[in-house]
Amino acid sequence: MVSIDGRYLVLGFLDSVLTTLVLGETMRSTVKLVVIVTTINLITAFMAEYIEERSSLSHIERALLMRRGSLLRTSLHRRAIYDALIKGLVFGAVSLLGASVTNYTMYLVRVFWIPVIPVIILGVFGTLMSRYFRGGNAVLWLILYVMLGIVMSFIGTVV
Amino acid sequence: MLDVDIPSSVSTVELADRLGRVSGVKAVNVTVTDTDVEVLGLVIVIEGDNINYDDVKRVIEDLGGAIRSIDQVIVGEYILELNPQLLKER
Repeated sequence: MVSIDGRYLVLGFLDSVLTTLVLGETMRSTVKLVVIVTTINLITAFMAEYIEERSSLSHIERALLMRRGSLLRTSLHRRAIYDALIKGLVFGAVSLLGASVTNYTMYLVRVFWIPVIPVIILGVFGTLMSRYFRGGNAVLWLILYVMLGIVMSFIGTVV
Repeated sequence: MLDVDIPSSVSTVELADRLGRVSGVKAVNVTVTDTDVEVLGLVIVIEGDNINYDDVKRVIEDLGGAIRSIDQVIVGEYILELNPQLLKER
């Protein structure tokens, strides 16, 4: 069974909200935007997880005094691909949710160029990030992600 | 009797279960003799009739393991026990 760390769910959501804020202003097709953000995050997450799994297999090969690449034909490698695929799909699904929510709420309430609802969502999920760091300060994470949201939407407006 | 190293992420229960399904195998004993961060040292004792060694090797290697040595093989119509005294005298 693949175990999925909670911080990756929160990160997937935050990442997709920020990307949508930047691209949302410039792209007219909302569905296209959501699909692009989801696909990019899915592939990125899969590749990141797969590279980490491969690195772990390389460590095991060294520990077992095996030739490089010996474990590529084993069930360990097949399991690594499966785990990376599942994590990529979960990351993609969370990104789809984040991109969709941002896309459909970014024009509802605006103060200057700032889309208020997505920025509030960023703040809420930003505070969740503090849980994944020992001694993480929720207020600092909230401020960080609110600021990031404001800056990203500004970049999206200017570019 | 095999001396085997496997990655510590591999379940010894799964290894024993898969070895138990190899043709000819009647009983399997997997004992952990050494533990490291990434590697488990095992002694695997397999008993049965006409055991397919290639399949045993394939199962261990498929799980990322490496057979370091074959420490005892007994073939014949009856179990020929080794007198431990003989080993001590050598």
